[in-house]
Amino acid sequence: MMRHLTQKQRERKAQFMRFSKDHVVEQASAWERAEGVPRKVIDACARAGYLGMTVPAIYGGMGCDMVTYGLLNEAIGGASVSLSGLFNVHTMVSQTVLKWGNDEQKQRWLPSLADGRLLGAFALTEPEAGSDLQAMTTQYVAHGDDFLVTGVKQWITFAAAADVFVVFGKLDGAPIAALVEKDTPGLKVVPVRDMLGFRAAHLARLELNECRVPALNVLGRPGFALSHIAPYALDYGRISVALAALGMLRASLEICGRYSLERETFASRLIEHGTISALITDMGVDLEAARLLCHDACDARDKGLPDAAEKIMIAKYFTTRSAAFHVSHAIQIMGASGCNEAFPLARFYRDAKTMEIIEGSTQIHQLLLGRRFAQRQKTKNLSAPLANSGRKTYGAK
Amino acid sequence: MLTVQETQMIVTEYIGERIDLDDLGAEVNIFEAGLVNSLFAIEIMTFLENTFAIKIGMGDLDMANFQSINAIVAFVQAKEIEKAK
Repeated sequence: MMRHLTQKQRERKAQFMRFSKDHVVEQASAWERAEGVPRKVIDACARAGYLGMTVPAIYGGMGCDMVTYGLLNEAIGGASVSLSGLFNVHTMVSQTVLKWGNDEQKQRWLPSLADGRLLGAFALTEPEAGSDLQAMTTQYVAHGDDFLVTGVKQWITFAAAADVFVVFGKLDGAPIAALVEKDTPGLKVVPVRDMLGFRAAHLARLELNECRVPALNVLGRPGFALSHIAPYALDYGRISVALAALGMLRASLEICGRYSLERETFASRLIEHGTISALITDMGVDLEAARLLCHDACDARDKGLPDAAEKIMIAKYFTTRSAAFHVSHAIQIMGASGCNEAFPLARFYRDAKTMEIIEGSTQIHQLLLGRRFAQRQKTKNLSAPLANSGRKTYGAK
Repeated sequence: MLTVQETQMIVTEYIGERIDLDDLGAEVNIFEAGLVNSLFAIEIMTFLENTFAIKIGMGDLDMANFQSINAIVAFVQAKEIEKAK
């Protein structure tokens, strides 16, 4: 279990918090109303190196560890989860190229992704294929040495601002992923508006109609896009969402905690009312638990531990649920003030629900984690099987 | 470098803890049999990299390398020989 940040990580965290205070906190609500993070803010992130946080220095990135990447998402998520959504999807693209790209692809794409000349988006979800990715219908068809891709991708974060997309589909039934540039003939990017939360995250729908994709843009091998490429990237996506939710939880406690010290009712400060103190106690305890889970998950990923993906899912599951639960309580504590857009809590409330859905819904996490936790108990007790359970074998002699 | 038997023992134990069976044949295709979920492909890759100090890249993406205990053991052995050269 990771307990302490290193000196370097603490320094980075302070930098991220300063950036958030200088560039994000005061403007974030206006971005939501305008339904888009301004380009100048994205450029400021690029200049700060945040778009290449996890890209190795040899490709122009900062080469930071996952813990530090998590700290960035926490700092920004405490002010705008829409902006943290940029780090989420952009990093998923750069990490996909880094892990599964060949040398030529890495040289071609990573420097531009790392310094923000190119923005990336991750086009996995379809109108009829969200949690059930095997149901995706986007088709790649061989066309000479290249491929033609046809299909629709929906709810793609930062797609309306991106220059290049990792587009998942099937080639003769085999899942495949390739880089598709935004100016490819046949590609139409349609911005999506009026979302509940994440309103400034430049969501868009991609309509691909026989878009020609060079074979050089295919990542990895056909057949592995859903088993290896997508899950590897989703580790980064889930870390981003978990840590952004952690930032939101922290910011909510800061706001309602201060309010409870200042606001008086019935001749007492709010914090002196037991019911209010109980709400804030639970908020603080869950914040601490979420922080430990998030940092432990990042640390496991940095160390390449096999159970890192599970720890990341646990962190995402717990933190997004906690954020949604406690933001609601923070609003309750602040009463009508909490419902007014003068405070960010109303926005957090909308965003928190969204975070329980993206990068694997709460229910998908329950499906995967519940079975694993139960299975683990069985393997621990093989010497004492349940009385009514027969031994299950497969192909064993 | 570990022996085939040692490698097989480590791999068998790891997979055994993650499937809903009491016993598993070394040649059974664990993907086709539906014994593992969507997290497993990345987990087994990370486990092999971490445990045997090998690097798995794009060139290794072949289901034949990961489909059964014996296939995984043969793959690890080949990577270790490659590493030792």
